[in-house]
Amino acid sequence: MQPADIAIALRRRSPWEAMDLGLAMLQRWWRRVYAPHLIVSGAIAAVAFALAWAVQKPWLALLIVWWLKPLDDRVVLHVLSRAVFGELQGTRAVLASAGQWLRTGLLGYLLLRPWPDMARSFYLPVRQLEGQRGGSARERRSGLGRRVHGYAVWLTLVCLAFEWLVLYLSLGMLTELLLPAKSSEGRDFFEALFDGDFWTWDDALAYAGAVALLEPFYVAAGFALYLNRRSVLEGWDIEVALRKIAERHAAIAAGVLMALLIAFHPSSSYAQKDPKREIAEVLKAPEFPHQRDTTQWRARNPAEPKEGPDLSWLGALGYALANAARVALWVAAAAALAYALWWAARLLPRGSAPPAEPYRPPASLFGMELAPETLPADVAAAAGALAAEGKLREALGLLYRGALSELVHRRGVRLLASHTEAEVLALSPQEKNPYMKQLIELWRQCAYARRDPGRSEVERLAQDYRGFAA
Amino acid sequence: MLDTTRRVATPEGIELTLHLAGPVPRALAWAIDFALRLAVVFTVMMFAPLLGNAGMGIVLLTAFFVEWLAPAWFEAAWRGQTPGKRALGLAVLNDDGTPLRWPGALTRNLLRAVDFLPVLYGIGLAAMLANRDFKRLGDLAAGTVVVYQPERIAQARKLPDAAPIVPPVALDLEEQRALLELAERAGSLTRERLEELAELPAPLVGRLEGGRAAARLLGMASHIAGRE
Repeated sequence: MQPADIAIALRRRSPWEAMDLGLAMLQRWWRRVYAPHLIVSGAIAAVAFALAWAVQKPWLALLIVWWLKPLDDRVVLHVLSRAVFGELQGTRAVLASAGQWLRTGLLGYLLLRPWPDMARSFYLPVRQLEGQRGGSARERRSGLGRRVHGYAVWLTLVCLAFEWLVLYLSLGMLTELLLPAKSSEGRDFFEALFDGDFWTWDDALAYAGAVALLEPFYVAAGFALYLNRRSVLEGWDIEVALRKIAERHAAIAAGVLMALLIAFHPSSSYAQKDPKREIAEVLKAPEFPHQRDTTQWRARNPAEPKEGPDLSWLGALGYALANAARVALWVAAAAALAYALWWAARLLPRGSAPPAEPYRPPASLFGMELAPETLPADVAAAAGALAAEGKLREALGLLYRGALSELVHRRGVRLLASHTEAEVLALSPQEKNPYMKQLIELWRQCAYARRDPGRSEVERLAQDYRGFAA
Repeated sequence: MLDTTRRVATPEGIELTLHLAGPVPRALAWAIDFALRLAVVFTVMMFAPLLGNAGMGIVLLTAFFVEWLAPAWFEAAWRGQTPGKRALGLAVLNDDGTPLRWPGALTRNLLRAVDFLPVLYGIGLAAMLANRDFKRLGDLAAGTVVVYQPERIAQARKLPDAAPIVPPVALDLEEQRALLELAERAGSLTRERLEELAELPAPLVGRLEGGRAAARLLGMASHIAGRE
């Protein structure tokens, strides 16, 4: 194990960044990790479910899967720890080397499993990769964990949350959604809790799925944290950089020596060098990044220049045609523009509104004829005569008709068939208003309330009509 | 070389390195934000009965704004940070390293609804585990990345006192940095390891051994740091 062989960029990282590096490692080598991991965790799950099925207790399967997680962790760490230093093992090789990763204090650890190890994946390499045990392992753990232990605990807690809150519930929800028969059972959460069948087979399966998905990430993140801690403590990044200094300057020294040799023996020099290769070497430098592959169509047989008749008139003709086309296009564009303007102008609203219709006095108002020729010549006298005969309603009606006719035809008040009595009153000229008010009030009571007008009132109105019509 | 960075070239030809943040710190930042949101909603809930029937409406409005718009507002107006992200030293940037603006912030926060499915960000977590830049779906849609703030990465630089020595050969930038790094971390390395490391660059230390080689390298680091 040499820091120079490591496949990750060595630099100072915060512990959080180190955990992310674990994820990057997992993404890079996910096939190599997940293949043996799924075989082992699948085998564990199979055993767990078989045992649990035998006694018909789903929770037992869940417990066994949880209990044997450290066994699974060791497979993942085995693969990753070798991949990081460039040794990519196939699934078969990993399983064949089971002796290596099984004999890492696994039994003792599994016995102590009920005491939760809050930084399991961070300290696992101490036992598995460094092979430390007992007191020295404890010392090593406390040394490694001095500044990072808290972060490792956070990693465990967050992964616990991912496992239970996110993945376990998500997978459980998926089975709910995909198996509608199950949701129709209506298994109430608290009911199930108190009935003691809280853990069902689905739950155990969802948990096994969550572990299968997430455990490699937990181990990888813990391992990356461990690598970063060691890199900081032991200066791995510095070692690699210092080695580079040594190599580069040794090479330069050798180059200088070579140059001196060449200077003394000019005959032995350039013949051995291949300029093409030299150029390729030089172009590999980052200062020459501008290489680009381009694809083009080329004629397969490049045409030879042919002797032929003078075709320059063709050029002139083309030129003339092009000019004509240009003019035609301009004309067409102008025509299109003109048409567009004309069309838009047609759509736009006219500047002036249509002339208002001339006022035409209505033939009747409130069902009463208004034309002056339908009225008696002397309305006041006729009304007085009617009143004297006791036909008070007719007298009043005649007065009203006369008044309206007077307003429309002689005073020029523009009454319409749609106007009401109150509007008539409002439209009537100021000096006629008091009389109209009395008349309309009386007429309303007569017409709408069926209250017969008093004789004296009608007679008084008939007498005042002369003044009104004057 | 495997790393968790994303390189971005600016139009000026300058290469920036973004340090991407993964699921663990982001989950913790989310948890802090969530606790704050709950606290706000509960506070409003305590005072809501004073307002009678309107109280319930105000609680619901507050919950809506705090859940959907407040994070977007924080990210757009507060250099890409919510309080939780600030606590963890995270920030949201556009893919090309430019600051986040309203459209991006709104997109990535409204799409939390998708990432949330089926329960508590199951899809978001799966996307983050599978994506090289640790993006959830909202980040993919908005074209954003969550990064560590640069000032959190750079730590206080402290060099041990040593009389400056001019390096015998010309060192390039990387090499100068390596010597500075060695000097800064000389205190945290064990003495044996420091001496072992110091013996490595023969062109600089010749055949000096142990403590004398280390002292020589520290002197060169002083020179590089500008002490005369």
